[in-house]
Amino acid sequence: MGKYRKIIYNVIQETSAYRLNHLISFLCVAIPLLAIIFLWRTVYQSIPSIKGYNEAMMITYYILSTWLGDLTGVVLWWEITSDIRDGNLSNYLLRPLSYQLYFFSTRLGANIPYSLIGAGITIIFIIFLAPDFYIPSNPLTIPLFLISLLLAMLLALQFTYLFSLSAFWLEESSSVNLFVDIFIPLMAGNLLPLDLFPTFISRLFKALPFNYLLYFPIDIYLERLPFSSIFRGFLVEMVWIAFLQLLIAVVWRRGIRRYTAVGG
Amino acid sequence: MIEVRNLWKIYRTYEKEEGLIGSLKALFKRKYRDVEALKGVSFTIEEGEFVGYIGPNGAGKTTTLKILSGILYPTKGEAKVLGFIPWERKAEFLKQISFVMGQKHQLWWDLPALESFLLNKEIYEIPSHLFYANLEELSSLLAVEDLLKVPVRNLSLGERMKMELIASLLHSPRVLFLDEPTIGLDVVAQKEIRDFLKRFNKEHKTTIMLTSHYVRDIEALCERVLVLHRGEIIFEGSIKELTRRYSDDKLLTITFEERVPDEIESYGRLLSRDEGKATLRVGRDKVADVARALLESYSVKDIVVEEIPIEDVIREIFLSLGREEDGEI
Repeated sequence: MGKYRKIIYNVIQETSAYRLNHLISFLCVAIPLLAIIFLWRTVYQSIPSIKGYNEAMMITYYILSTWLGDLTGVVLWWEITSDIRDGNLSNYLLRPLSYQLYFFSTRLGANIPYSLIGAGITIIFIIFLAPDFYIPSNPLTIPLFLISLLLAMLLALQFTYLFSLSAFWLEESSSVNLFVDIFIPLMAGNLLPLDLFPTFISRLFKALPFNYLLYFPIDIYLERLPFSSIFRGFLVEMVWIAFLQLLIAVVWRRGIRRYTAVGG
Repeated sequence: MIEVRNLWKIYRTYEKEEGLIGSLKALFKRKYRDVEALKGVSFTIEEGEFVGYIGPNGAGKTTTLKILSGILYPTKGEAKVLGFIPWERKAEFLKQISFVMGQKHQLWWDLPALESFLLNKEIYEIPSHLFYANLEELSSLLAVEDLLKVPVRNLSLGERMKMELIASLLHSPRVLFLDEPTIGLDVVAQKEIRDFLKRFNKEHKTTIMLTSHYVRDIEALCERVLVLHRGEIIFEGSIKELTRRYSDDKLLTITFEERVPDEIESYGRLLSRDEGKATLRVGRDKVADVARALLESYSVKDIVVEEIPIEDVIREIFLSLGREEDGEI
């Protein structure tokens, strides 16, 4: 495991050279957040509660989803797709190293400084703009939320890896990109809490694994779920994680046979 | 050490017509083309050998190395390296080989090379004392001790290549594949790397397989060469044998007392001439006759007989092969 620890360390070192970039890109997502908060504040002037969310919960939902967006977001990871298309993957195949764990380590290493900076900005944001930020009352909520967050990060890494491996088959990935960039955030609850969709869409999205990326952890944080639902959720999520791991193994094995290691 | 039997690699490439309609067509019926990169290659390499693998672009050299190092699956055929089937990529196998690609790099761009080395120490599970001993030996042989803590992006191309070599050798591989390790380097750096490889192979008995466009690399390093052409091995043996087999000519450089006579072209193929000096290309068995005839007819200061430079021989081999093949089509 020492190798993966070293990879995380190297990435943190490497990305710390781009601290300012992190700060700026986080500010870029904080500004739309401001607009959303003002919008909901206006809406709540005439209604006390929407589908069980009061004003504080709704605003907390969006603040959390902005902070967690990158931590549990799914992307088409360009480093993987270019490694596959440009033949750089060879460098990893040559060494006794799992490419999946290598990728997980680099993502983790890149996410750690980013989410710390994000946490700092979020706290400042809360103090000055959202003093009614929801604080859970049950002491068990925070540990359960953290568990759901860890599972969500794992799930996000798996999806990111799986979608990025499509580069073994696809010369260019604009269709995968569309799905990953537009539809997954929708189904994960980045745009709206899933309860706000029409009933059948909301049911469908909650049956899909993507809701565990964001909607489910925030639901736990907002204490909207009884313990029994939380544990059932964990169980289903872990079944998804196991299934995705199997799928990854199959896709990798087939992809690597197609790999042509171009260049060099 | 390395055994290859009847190795084939066929790449299937899909062809797509241009534009949206082409893309739609491709959804239903994909056109593809098979490219035969290797057509039944067989050879054996013994422990400690330094073998040159030469051939024109697209001959299949890199494909062979990629299969032998486990990066690619062959279409059919067998290969064993150190007793392992390479493409199974067992950790035990990967720990004993290395592959240096002149056009690919494994070093972390924004970090000092030392950080990449330390990562390889973990990946290959190199014990600390061995790691530091190897690092010291390699970095002093390549004279880069002072650069270990400089971010890789600030190094010159030659320095970076030396660091790549170190990164690939720290785990003391028993088999080393080198694909164009001197490509794009200046003459000095080329020579440094050449000298280093020669010494390393001697001292560590590492089995090395090298491809290079620079015939000088091959000439200086390899006692044996394999010549690959369009996916098939067409020659196996020493460089000397290669020259003898493919070139029956020698070079005659004659220095005259006076101007070069105009009839000089009747003695052989004139390659160059200036004031009092001319170079002729003459069949091996005619060298003595030509020299005697020249000495009798003119006042000659000096005659030098040389082999044709290997670079030229190899270029001619490939040219002639190309022409033959073109003629068949």
